[in-house]
Amino acid sequence: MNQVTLQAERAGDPGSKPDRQEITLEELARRKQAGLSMANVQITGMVHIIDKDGNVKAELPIERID
Amino acid sequence: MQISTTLRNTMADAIDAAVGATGKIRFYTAAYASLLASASCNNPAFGAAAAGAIALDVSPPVQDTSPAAAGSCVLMGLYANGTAAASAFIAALGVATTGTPDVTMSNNVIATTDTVQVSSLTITVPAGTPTT
Repeated sequence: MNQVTLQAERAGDPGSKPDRQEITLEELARRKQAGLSMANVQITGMVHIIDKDGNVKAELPIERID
Repeated sequence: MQISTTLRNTMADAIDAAVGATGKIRFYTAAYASLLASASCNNPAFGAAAAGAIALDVSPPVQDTSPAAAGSCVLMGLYANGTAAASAFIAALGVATTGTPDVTMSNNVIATTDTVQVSSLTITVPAGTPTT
């Protein structure tokens, strides 16, 4: 199984020995999914552009899902 | 992190409140250089939140039957009114005909004789899951 190593300097302690933690890619994806913010707000919908003759010229599916 | 449905509804209704009574959905060329079309929202713009989601009220239709300018739409945004600065959007979406943009257009060229109609728009605040 794929492993990802995360490391970061401890907060407020620049130059410190990085903390290491190995997790799977699946776990990384799950943590990312769980890390909610307003940027995760989902927007879906549809916009139509209709020409002067009443024909649908373009359909614009809206899908913003982070 | 998991957010309660009550808080999700509060957050979703806050988006509707930010749009207010005179909301607009505006369509721009690249870098907000030119305003192509501006569709007026109803008042209120969205229905009451349920399950963290709000749906745009599209009756009567949210549309612009006489776009201000012709051009290729690259950005669309939700605004509190028609006079707010382009950068003062409540939500902004990227538009393109290829790739994986927020809005995929089969034809992103808007003519002044076209009608630009927002047929549906739903904004959802996700619940998420607690991480241990």
